[in-house]
Amino acid sequence: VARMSSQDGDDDEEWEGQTVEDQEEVTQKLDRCYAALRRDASKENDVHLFREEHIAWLWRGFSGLPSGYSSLDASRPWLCYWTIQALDLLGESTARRASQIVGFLNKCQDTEGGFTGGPGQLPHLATTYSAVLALLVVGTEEAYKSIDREKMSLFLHRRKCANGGFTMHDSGEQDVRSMYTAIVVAKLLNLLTPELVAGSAEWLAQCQTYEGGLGGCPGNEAHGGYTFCGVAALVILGRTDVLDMPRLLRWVANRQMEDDRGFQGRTNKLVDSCYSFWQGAVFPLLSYVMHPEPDSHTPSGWLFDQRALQQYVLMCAQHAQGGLRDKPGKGCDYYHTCYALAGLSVAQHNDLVITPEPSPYIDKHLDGNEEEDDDVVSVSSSSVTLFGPTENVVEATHPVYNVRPEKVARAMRYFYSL
Amino acid sequence: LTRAPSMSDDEAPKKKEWVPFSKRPEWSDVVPTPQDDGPNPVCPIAYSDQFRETMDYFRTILKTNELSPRALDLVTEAIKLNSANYTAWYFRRKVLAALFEKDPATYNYRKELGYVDGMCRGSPKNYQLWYHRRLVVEQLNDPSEEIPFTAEMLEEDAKNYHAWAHRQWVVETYKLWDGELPFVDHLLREDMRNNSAWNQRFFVISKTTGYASKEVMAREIECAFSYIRKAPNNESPWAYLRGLFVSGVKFSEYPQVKDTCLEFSGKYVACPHVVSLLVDIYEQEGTPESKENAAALCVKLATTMDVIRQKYWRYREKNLH
Repeated sequence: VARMSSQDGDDDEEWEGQTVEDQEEVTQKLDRCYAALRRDASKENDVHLFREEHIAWLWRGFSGLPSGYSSLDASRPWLCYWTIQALDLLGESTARRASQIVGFLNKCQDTEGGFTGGPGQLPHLATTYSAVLALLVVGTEEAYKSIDREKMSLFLHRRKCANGGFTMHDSGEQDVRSMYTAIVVAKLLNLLTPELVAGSAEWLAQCQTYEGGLGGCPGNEAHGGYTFCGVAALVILGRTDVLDMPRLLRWVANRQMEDDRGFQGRTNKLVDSCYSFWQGAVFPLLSYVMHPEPDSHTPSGWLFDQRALQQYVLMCAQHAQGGLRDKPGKGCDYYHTCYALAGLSVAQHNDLVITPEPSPYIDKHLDGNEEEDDDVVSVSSSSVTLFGPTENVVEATHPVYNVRPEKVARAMRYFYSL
Repeated sequence: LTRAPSMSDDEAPKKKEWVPFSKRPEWSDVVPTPQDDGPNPVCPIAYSDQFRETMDYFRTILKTNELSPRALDLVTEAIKLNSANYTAWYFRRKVLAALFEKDPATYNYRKELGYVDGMCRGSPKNYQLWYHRRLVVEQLNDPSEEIPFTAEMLEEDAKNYHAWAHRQWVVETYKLWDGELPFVDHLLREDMRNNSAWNQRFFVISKTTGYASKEVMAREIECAFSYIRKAPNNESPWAYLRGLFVSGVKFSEYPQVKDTCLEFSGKYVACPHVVSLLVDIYEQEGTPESKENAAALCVKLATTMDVIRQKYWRYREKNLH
């Protein structure tokens, strides 16, 4: 509001419209969240990640959800992934539940390939994506072996369209999400062939709008979720050349809100903690494209205000009793918990290397303890940008997949040696 | 709009008491299929009895591939309990295709449009619903309700992504371009910060007249500036203005852009959008002096005017062409 009131337009219409109303409501709520810090910046060290509360809340969800979650009954693998990935980011291992997770996800695997939204449902690219990622979080050979790769390949090919895209399921819709989910699954499981992705990069290029971000389909408004999906897919394909990078960078940089501190999904819309990842992760992806071989001259960190984003997540999106939410006034849910924490992770860790193939850098992570190590790894100060005390550090996440980099590396070592 | 017999009775004055399937004589021949969650499911949901039983019966007809009128009733109930159940929608389409052949008087796409119309209003952000509507419209090959329908949905939520995507599909597929620019103007008068409307403006013009002509460019430049004068910190018209030059047209071909920006920089002294566009303009001019100007403005943005983006502006400063 400070920004909005600093200019006088030419007439009285300046403050009219739904956008202004909606934004003012949010600004008031956020003002309360930031008030303590505004009065005294040293209060920063009192701003804690409610790690134990979130971990407890996540385990409760893992064990059972109330009937209100029936609306997500076609997204069971998502619920599983959001929960265990959030736990993983918080340094909480789910290793003792590995077989349980693998066993349940196997009930969601279709005999003809792909994973479904729940036992007995049709296989779907989004639930396939989330099931595969969840199995990567588990990271055991049992998990990897549970995936029927041959049938998966057939399923992916059945989703492929002549225009280069993919349908989400049999006679389902097609958009940038289906492209990303299909390409991620293919890449992780070593099923990516030129035939599978023929025309994909070109179709994605059409989704970049005049604003610089990507929409769901060609012509649609630039949107954070679709932008992430499109850019990540192109990074995997090595085809970011089809995008206008400067325009994309400018758009995504403009999505961080000056007063709110977090990211909005579209121009003139409201802040939402899930965009902490969808928009935030685009920066390391762009950095990788611009500097594929980082050296001592490459600036560290990302081209957005990392501390400000952490302020949003920690001061506005956390629920004191556990769980994270879109914004104050909204309820917590597992989706926002996963993506707010993932965004926090991107904002904290400066030195992500994204090489999609197993690489010496990523392999280095595996030379240490093979077992899950629950201690928060202490990191050198240059590789971390922190708001608040060092106890707030969460695990690093891979900006293409949103799974810990060592888990991506381990899985790829398995699937690329087959 | 007429509704198919299987339409759930949302408009009844009282909520009908749900009768368990096990107590319905017309379903007595069907054995329900419990969900095979396995012995130890992750994130199990505490379904209501109604939800659980409805899905148990749905799983059976899915397995047996029953494509009957009672199957349509059951799939309607399943969808009502979870409209995101894409398997139920998929199966609904299978059932409808069979019924349309058997009894086109009772079951047809016109009636189905009425059904999906009601459902869309209740769940305006549901992927499956909008997609189903699109398929029905395609089958009917009749877009006549789609423009008023999306207009209504946008009246309730002027930025509903699904509504806009659907409208774009309708307009482009059926060439309903007339009236679209007036619709955009109407929405911008209601809320000039509605970025979806600005996006639609770009969509319509680029696919009709295009932006090649000087008349169109001059008009659109002036449109953007007229809204900027009302609220200089509104990012949407700035993004649109910049968008006019994405195709490769040079700022120097339209000197009013730089002139107006310079005027604005004196008038709206704290507005970063003015300065941001001047950076682009100076960068494009390509002289050593203009590059210096651009760099100085990047520093101004980084240090005082747009501090949250300081890392971006420092990057721009170092990477000016």
